[in-house]
Amino acid sequence: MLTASATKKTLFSALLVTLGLVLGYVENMFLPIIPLYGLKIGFSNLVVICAVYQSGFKNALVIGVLKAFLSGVLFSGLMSIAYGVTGILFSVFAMNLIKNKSSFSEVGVSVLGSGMFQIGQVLVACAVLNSAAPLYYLSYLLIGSVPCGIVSGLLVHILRKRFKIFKGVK
Amino acid sequence: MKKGDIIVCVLVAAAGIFLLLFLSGNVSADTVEIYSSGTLFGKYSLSSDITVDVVTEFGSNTVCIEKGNVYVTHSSCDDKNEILQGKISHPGQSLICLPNKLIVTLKGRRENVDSISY
Repeated sequence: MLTASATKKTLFSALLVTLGLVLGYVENMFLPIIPLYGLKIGFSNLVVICAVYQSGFKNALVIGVLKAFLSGVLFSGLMSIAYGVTGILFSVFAMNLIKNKSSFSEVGVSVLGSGMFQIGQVLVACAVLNSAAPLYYLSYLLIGSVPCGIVSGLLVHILRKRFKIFKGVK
Repeated sequence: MKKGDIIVCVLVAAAGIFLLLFLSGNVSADTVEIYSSGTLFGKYSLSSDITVDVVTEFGSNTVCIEKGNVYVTHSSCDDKNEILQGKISHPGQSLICLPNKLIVTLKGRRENVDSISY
């Protein structure tokens, strides 16, 4: 039976997924303006980082995978689901490991998540292309994921401080 | 920013730089290899001036080799990422078109390949 708080949690997760999809869509519209080897700040992943913090591992995993799946179906093509979902799985697992450690703030969690996302994604690309060539891009992506991860980490920090809603639904 | 954050940032960046150094090496590039879906489509000398049309079941791309640089001028895919990637000229570098499963990669080789060999 669904309790009031379970309903609230489901509703909130759905809201986060939707927010992530919209952020991703808007960001993708700006991408052709500044080509950066496929690198982007990844505003839609703010939602995933918030989810890792506020609603627990399992829920964050569901939110991340749903977001990657739906954004593949809606915007970027079916193949990108494989990249996105694997990337999200890697990053949610890693972020969940360090999120409650006192020596890490949102920034560290976000940078690690971003790095793991790239690794997962590139591994799929290697498998799809049957080649190690994408590893070359991984080097750029990893270096780029540091500034991008810092930006989104700071944004998550601000979001969690300003909006009660991102602090957690229990 | 906490201590752990800085460690994570440094580690991720270091992993990237290490990978970059590991893959590029010190030899100069002289062979262009074009792969389609993991199988070799063609091998060309980097010093040649040619345009290669790679037409496969996954899509078509046009690869240009010119004055030691390689770049993609045309692609049937949607994101045109490999065109935006610009020119490459060092060993280990690649141009990749994921939708068309195309890889153009540069190899530094001991023996010189002057002609096209399939």
